[in-house]
Amino acid sequence: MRKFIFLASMVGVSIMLFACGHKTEKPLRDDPYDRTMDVAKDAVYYNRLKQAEVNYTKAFDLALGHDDRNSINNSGYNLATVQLALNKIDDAESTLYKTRQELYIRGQNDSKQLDLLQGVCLYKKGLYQKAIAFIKLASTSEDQDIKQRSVFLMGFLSYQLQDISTLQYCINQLEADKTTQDKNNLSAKADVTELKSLYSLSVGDYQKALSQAQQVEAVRRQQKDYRAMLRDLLLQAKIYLTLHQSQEAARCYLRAGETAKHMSNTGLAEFYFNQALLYSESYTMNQFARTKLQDLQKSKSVQ
Amino acid sequence: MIFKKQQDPDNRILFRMRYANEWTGAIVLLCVLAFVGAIIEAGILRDWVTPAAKLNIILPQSGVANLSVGDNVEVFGINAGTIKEINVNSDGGLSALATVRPQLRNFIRKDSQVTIKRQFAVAGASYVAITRGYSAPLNWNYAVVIAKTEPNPADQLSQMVAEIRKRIVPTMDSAQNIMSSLEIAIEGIQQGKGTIGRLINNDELIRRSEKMIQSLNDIINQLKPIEHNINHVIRHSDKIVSNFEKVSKDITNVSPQLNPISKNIAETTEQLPSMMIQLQSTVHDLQQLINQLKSLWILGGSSHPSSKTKRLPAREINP
Repeated sequence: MRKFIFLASMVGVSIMLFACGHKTEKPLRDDPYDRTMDVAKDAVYYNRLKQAEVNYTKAFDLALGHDDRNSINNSGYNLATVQLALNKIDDAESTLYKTRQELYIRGQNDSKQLDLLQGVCLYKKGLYQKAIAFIKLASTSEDQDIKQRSVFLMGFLSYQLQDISTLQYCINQLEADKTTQDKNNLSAKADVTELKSLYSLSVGDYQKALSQAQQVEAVRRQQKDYRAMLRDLLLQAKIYLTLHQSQEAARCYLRAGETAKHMSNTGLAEFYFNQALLYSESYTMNQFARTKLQDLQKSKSVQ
Repeated sequence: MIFKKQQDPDNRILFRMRYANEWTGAIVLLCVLAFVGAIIEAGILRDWVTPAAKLNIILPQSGVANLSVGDNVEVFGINAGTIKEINVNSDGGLSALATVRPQLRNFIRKDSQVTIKRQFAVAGASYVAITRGYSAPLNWNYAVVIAKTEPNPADQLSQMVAEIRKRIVPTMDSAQNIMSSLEIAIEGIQQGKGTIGRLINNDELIRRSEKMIQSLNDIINQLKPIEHNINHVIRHSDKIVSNFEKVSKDITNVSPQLNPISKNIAETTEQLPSMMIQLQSTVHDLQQLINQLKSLWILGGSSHPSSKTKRLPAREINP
């Protein structure tokens, strides 16, 4: 009897497993574009951005060979995104220009996702007015994540331009967005809080701004989004400086320097350590910043 | 009446010719006709009727080489006419008007070469020599040719001498300079200046050379004991070489086995590419299997297929 129950349950479980799975059909032949894109995506996941750049370049060439407009758009976008993350602004702009040309040849005159990247490139070059024009274009995208990111970046740029009404508009837009309302989407919530922190800073509510920035920093760390966390640490440093708490600002700069070093951006790391050295008020902090700077310079000379 | 008078025996007429005047007149006419025919046949009349062709010759700016009115014009060696006029043009140039026998007009064409020459190369009367032409004929209503002067051999000779002189004189000067420099150098050597001078006049260098040779001899003497050691090393080297020979013999013995090994390696490597494809296929299948397993709800997955877009999420873009 026991044997029968065991066998019956095994058969039942097997049938259930078969029923729950969905059939995946094997494509007619291997697609090197898909494979290369997957490898590159994994490289981004594992934070191997140089490897990702190599693979996305390869994927872009394959997409050109396949004469597939969508693939060209996506691979060009991905390549430029990775180049931006590697702080290769000129390369990213060159990629965007090339991608637009290839799309134009194939009858596509605009791409909102490329507009978004173009805006970020211009922002990094300090051309805020031009940048916001491109980001506004991107905010009309039908892709939800592109639209949402555009609104966030528009808010970020509005703070740089001290356009408080647009900043408030962006906060409202993001709060009304479905993805932000999703309780599991902590990153989207953190984006809104970051903009709120910038808003508080703009209107002179420094304590609130600091508190919001600290909240965001914690979420970024939890989400392993270290680039965004670096940005929030710098925001905190800025707020501390406004509050005339240089020692705390130096502390934030030191932490930011370590994160930048971890992301292999030694130029930025050196700048943040120098800032920490500048604003450190105690001997211990000063020595600490100096040691960090010396270590960084040693590691640079070894490289 | 007359004939009747001749019947007189005293005044008897020797020949009695009836129509004698008419005959005389006919003979005279015949003679005149024969004369005219002969003239026509000889072409004298044609020469008279046909006027001589006029040829304008533009003379060279360098000079006319003593060409004067009345000088001959020759067409490929045949006397063809004479120079009738030599004119000075309004632009300062010179030209000559020559008459040419009309029969020779056909030989003078646009590519004919016109040269002013002298009878005996450097002396004698000047004449105009025209070569035979083969291109388009001239417009004989106003025929113009351009003449050049034949270079005078005497002038060429003097020019050549001048050129040779021009080249030889600097060479001679250089030779003189070289000689003077050589003289100074030899004087310097004699006075003991410079390395060669010191070598010749100073015994110090020779003494030093002698000392050096002596030192070399000493070094060689010192090296002699080392020679023994070197011999020892060479003997060792011989041993090593012999050992190496043995090793190479062993390798030679082993080498027949190398061929099957390399063949096996080749066969194995041949299969590698296909094995790689199989491996790739297996990995792909494995990935699919993992994806499918992940999608089972019993393992915590959902049956919704993952997003098919290959685009990175927009969150990857950071300001």
